[in-house]
Amino acid sequence: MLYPRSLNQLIGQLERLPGVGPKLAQRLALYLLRRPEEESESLASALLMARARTHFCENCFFLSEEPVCEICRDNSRDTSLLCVVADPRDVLAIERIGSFRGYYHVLQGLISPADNIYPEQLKISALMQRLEQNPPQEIILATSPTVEGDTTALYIARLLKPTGIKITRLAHGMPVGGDLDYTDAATLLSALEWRREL
Amino acid sequence: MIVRTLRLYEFRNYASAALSFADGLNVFVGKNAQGKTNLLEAVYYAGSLRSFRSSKETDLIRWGAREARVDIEFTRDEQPNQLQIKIPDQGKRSACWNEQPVKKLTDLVGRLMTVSFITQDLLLVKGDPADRRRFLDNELSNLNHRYFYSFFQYRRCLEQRNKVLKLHAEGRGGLETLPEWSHQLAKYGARLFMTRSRFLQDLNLRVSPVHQALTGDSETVQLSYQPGISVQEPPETEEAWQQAFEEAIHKVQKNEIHRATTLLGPHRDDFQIVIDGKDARQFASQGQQRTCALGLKLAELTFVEAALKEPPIVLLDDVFSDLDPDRRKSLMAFLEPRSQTFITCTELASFQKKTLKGAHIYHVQGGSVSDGA
Ligand SMILES: Nc1ncnc2c1ncn2[C@@H]1O[C@H](COP(=O)(O)OP(=O)(O)OP(=O)(O)O)[C@@H](O)[C@H]1O
Ligand SMILES: [Mg+2]
Ligand SMILES: [Zn+2]
Repeated sequence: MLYPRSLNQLIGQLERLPGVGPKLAQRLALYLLRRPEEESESLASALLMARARTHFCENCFFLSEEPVCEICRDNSRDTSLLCVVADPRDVLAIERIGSFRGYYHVLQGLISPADNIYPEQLKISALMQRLEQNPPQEIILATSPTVEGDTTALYIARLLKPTGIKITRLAHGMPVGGDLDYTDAATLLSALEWRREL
Repeated sequence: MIVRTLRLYEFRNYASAALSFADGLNVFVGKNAQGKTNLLEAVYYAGSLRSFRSSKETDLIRWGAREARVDIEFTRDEQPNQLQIKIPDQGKRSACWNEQPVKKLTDLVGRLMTVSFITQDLLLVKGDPADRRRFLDNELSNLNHRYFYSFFQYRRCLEQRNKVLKLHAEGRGGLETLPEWSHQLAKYGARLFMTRSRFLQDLNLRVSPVHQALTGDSETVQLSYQPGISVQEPPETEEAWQQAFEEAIHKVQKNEIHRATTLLGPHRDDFQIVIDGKDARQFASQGQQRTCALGLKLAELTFVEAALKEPPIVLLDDVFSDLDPDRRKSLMAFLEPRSQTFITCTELASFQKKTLKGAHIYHVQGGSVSDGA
């Protein structure tokens, strides 16, 4: 490639981002160069700022600028419910609905030996410690309905068994208001498998 | 099921081609390396969303082109349908079903049902167990979405479980998640065991009559499932398979930890083919292997036909070169009343005049097709 070295370096950095291939990296880099310099500066400083100020909540491992996140600091929430998710994005998704009023625990991933992710890389022992101090009445395991999500839920459920806490798993099924006709086959199949009596 | 039209753009050696087809027999005739098999491959691809000969999708794109496209119109249950698939050299393929973009392409698998017989199917009899498993997986995936997804989930569990065993053996990881992986392996594995077992039981009832119709002999063919766990009798339900699998895993677990790999499961399946009491995998002659493999495929055709309540599309690549005239005649007699059939051959002389009467003939030469009927 005949781009100058510095531009190549930028492209190389962008390419390492998830979901960005060589083509998109090139497009982004050229775009940034065409835009006013301030835009690059504010992008760079936003990046550094976010890095410097955000860290994981020491209680639930959601993101926060304080040692303990906003959700964990909110005393009006329901202490009897704890929702275990894989990723901070899952917290946002559930919060957006606005009907869950319990607390969260973010595992920071799913068990996947193929990607070298074992339970010790996840916030599972932190979860166990948290439960010793403040056991909720119910733990909702809200990991994705994938092989890894299911395995992670099964593993945690096994560890939790001796605590006697009620453990539930998110139901998988039909999108509400979705036409049977337009539902993809995998979703329809799991909806059938998780059907219940009326 | 009837394929009405097929349009290809930058597909294999076709820059562009537009073909329309007749109900019964369609013959692609031409010299070697002209693009006959490529046409069958296009129809097969539209049905299964994978090629029958390359595992790399981009192999389908004409050399030097950026994107291949297959447009196909066919009727199912007498309803007209239109499917358009684009395969770019980079990025994801995309598809439209009746002019609507499709979110999950795998949902399209089996909308157009084909049963094919290609050179590689000869391996069904003398090939490895992996060849026979591929046959089961391909056919069952097209017919059964649950099987299709379970197959991928099983493969993923197997990969994860093997990784746990391997890293443990290398002293780089613990076994604490092994119980969960074993459980998941058994859950998805049971689905494969159950579906394969039922399929082979059904196929076993169909294969002898078909084989006899094809050969004119009274040879009997028997298929028996050899699942990748030892069982006295094949269980009758999925739950029973799962339980049997879990027990089997439990028994060999120590050994698995020692050997650092998963020793049991549907990834070790095979089935036995017995012709007149002799194991065909070892004793079948060349001719017997061919007719036996073809018989299996035709038995599958009747299975699919029963499941769909209408005949699927039949794709036959170069079958005639392997069959004597009597067997050719029997084959055509078997197919004639039921299905829309696509056959490739290098010369029309391999057909009886009578057979060609209602047929549509296409001359294939260097990536272009002329309609000669
Ligand atoms: N991606 C591709 N782009 C261009 N040409 C290709 C591509 N893939 C395969 N071909 C060519 O297409 C030609 C025709 O292949 P095909 O297998 O359809 O031949 P055929 O007519 O069935 O011949 P035979 O009678 O020998 O079986 C081959 O010469 C092959 O090299
Ligand atoms: Mg060919
Ligand atoms: Zn928190």
